[in-house]
Amino acid sequence: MTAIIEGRIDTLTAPALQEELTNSWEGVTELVLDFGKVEYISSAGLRVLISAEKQMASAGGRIVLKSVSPVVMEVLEMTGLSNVLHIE
Amino acid sequence: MKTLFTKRPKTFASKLSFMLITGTLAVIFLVFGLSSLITRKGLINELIASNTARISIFSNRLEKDLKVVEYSVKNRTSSFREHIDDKDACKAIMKEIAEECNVRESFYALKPEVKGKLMVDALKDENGRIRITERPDNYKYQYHHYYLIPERLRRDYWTPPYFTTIAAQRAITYSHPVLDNEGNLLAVMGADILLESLTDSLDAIVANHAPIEGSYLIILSEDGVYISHPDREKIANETYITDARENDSPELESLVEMMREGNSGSETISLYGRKNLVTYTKLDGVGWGILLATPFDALFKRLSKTLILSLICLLLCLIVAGLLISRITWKMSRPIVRYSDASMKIASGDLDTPVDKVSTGDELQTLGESLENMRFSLKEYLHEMMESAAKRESMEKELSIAHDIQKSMLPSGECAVISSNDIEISGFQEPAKEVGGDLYQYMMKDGCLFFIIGDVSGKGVPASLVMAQTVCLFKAQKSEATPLEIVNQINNQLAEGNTQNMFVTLIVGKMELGSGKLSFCNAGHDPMMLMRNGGVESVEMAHNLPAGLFENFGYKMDELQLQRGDRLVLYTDGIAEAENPFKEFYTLARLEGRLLRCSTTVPAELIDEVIEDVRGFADGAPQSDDITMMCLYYKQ
Repeated sequence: MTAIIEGRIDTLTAPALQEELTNSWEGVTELVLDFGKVEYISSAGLRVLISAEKQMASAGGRIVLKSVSPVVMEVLEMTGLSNVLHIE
Repeated sequence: MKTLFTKRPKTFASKLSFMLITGTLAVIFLVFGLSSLITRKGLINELIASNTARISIFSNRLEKDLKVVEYSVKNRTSSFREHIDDKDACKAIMKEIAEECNVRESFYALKPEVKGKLMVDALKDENGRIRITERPDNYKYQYHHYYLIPERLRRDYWTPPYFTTIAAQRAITYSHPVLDNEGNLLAVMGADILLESLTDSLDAIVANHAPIEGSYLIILSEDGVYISHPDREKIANETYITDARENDSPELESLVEMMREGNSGSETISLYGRKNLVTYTKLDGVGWGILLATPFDALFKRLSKTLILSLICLLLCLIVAGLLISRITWKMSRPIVRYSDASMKIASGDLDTPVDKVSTGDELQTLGESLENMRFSLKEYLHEMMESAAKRESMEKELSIAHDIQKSMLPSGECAVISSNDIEISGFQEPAKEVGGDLYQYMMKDGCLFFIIGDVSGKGVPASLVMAQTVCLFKAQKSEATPLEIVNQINNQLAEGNTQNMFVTLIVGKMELGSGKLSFCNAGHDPMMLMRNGGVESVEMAHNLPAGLFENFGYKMDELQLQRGDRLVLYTDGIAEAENPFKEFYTLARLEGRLLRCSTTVPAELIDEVIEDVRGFADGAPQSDDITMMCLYYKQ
């Protein structure tokens, strides 16, 4: 299953993403998040990714990030999350 | 009365009564106007019928009067012809004729060419005595129309009215041709009748069949001369043509012409300046016309009287009705007035006075109940609102206290700046909300400087709790602890039972003041910047995960040898991600650029310059994230 995410993931938009993902990952083993159109991710957004990854991991699945832009990649690397999340 | 109509009605009751009364008035006037129109029409029709009946009576009477004269002459024609050469016998016949009641004078005139010229008159004086005379020789009766027309036309003839020579009275003459067996004219015989005697007998009839008051009779001779007219001066003096033209009544002329053609009927025409209904007919024998005129104003005089009387009655009724309507509407609108007062009270904030309801069982009662419900709901709502306002107030108060507590957990007062011979360190924080998730702290322990800067994911109260926990853990460290140990401890403490996946990015550093050796551990935080020899660069460090996510994560520690004059700048992403009104970020590049331009070595001043630049960039746009900055100067 692939979810395409657009725009900024910050304090205001993160709860909506969290809800969408919670509804999506039931019964899914591999959730692909297309980050091609994500301009910015804040710490609140990172928390959503971590929560999702933890949930998927406990259910034996995983989250894969696709087409991550350099700006977002920088944040993921800086926070070490690039080592935890699967990035294609 | 005037004030009643000019004063603007203000209350509902007065408006309603005003409208009802006006409506009733309009309906009454409409009905009144219509009925008066219908009545007028009916009156006219009735008048046509009655005047037609009257005129037939009048014409019958007139014909009868004339026939009496005609018969008194005609009945004696044969006897006269028999004795035409016997003058005395003829005179006796004339006397007989003259003795008839209406006859004033009888005559005969012989045809001069046949019987010799002779005309005999039998004249009745006022006392009824009859005097018989022969006309003198020089009297040329054969040129008079009473002789000429019967002679030429061989028929009876009624002359137009003329003035008699003796009493100057108006009279008309009937003349009859006396013919022999071959149809040759022998003589003309006839009789006069005074117009007065004719019209007097007619007047009696008219009086008996009393037409509408003001009605008058006009009789016209065959030639159009007035025989009878209310204006006696016109009788025998004027014809209808001159009269119509002099008195500007052209309709009279056309009406009489129609009548003379043998028509009869009724017409509405203007006569002597008044509108009249004129009923007319033509007498068969004499060819006279008879007109009965009834002026409309006379006809409607009675009607107007009746109308005015009934109008007064109606107005009286209306006044009574108006009073009743006012009274009823006032009574009916009383609940509305009450409700209006009640809603005014509610609007002014008085929610405790119950609405004065009515039990009319209609919409007014429902309205009252709704009003009462509204008052009750408003009261409850207001109560709830005040409670929630109080709650919010206390919450705000608590938050404000939390803000103070959180502030007290950061370096403040005497500890705000640590300055020794070797170093000076200063920090700054501006939370986006009352309480935030950013943290910084530093302390000196056994010749070592410990510092921490961090950013908890999220904002507000949950973040502030994690922040407090982190600061407490940092502050409780012993001087032997390495940054790695501190980060591990914080990570494990936070990760324990962290269902919300809250995390904190942080850098913990420990500097030995004497040697300038800096050991530090970065848990997913923005790299610190080193200002050395006029340049600015990010410090290379291991990419570790933020603290609080995975227990026993294998963090790595880095080391850096500081040189005297070095300045170390630490910050949270609130600076790089500060936004201006165009949603643009401040960015790390801009921060680097600003740091390059800083000339001061005092950390507090450097921080002030950067914060001022960030605020200038934001240009009033709301601060979306906590802003934290820390600067360490390794003195020369």
